Amino acid sequence: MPATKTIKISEEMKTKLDEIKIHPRETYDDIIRRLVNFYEKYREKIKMLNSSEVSSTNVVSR
Amino acid sequence: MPKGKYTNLSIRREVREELDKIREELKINDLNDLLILLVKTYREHTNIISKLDEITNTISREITNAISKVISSVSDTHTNTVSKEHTNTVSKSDEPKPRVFCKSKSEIKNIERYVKWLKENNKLIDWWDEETKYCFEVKE
Repeated sequence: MPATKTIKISEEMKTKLDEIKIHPRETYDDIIRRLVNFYEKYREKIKMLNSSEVSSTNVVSR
Repeated sequence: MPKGKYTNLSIRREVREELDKIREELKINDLNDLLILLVKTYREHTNIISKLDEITNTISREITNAISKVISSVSDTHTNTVSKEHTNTVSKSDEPKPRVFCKSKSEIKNIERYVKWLKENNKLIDWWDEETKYCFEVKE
């Protein structure tokens, strides 16, 4: 079983990931790992934010 | 997933699994949408942190300046007090010493006027009558 997996992301998303690099040689794996850690630390707040965004999107789409 | 250019990224299997768990937790179907949310909140968070850092640094600088001013003012007050104490000591030692002199009564035509004159000149400390003369204690 390979230790790595490939994910398909948009060029725009790749640029956004580049923008939050701490140093130029930081890998995308490191960046996404950092985002995962960030999520684990602020899980509840992000959940709330996500649910409010989803509900506001629903209101707009109606 | 919206149409556009895409790119493949290689990440560790466990990181991908973590992403999938989060996707399920947040009920987000698309991995890109999840990353958009995470990057957005991460950037907002880091912006707030950097603003807080700026505020903390400003407050810290202001507190340091205020403390320096207080220390400087306390130091000045202390210096002035010491200086005044020193001046007082010096002035005390420099105060004119009393001197006693006597004049025969014949020399003084009007004792009251003479005493008044001494008082006006702030010289007289005391005076007394000694039969044939008047004696005065005065500041030099």
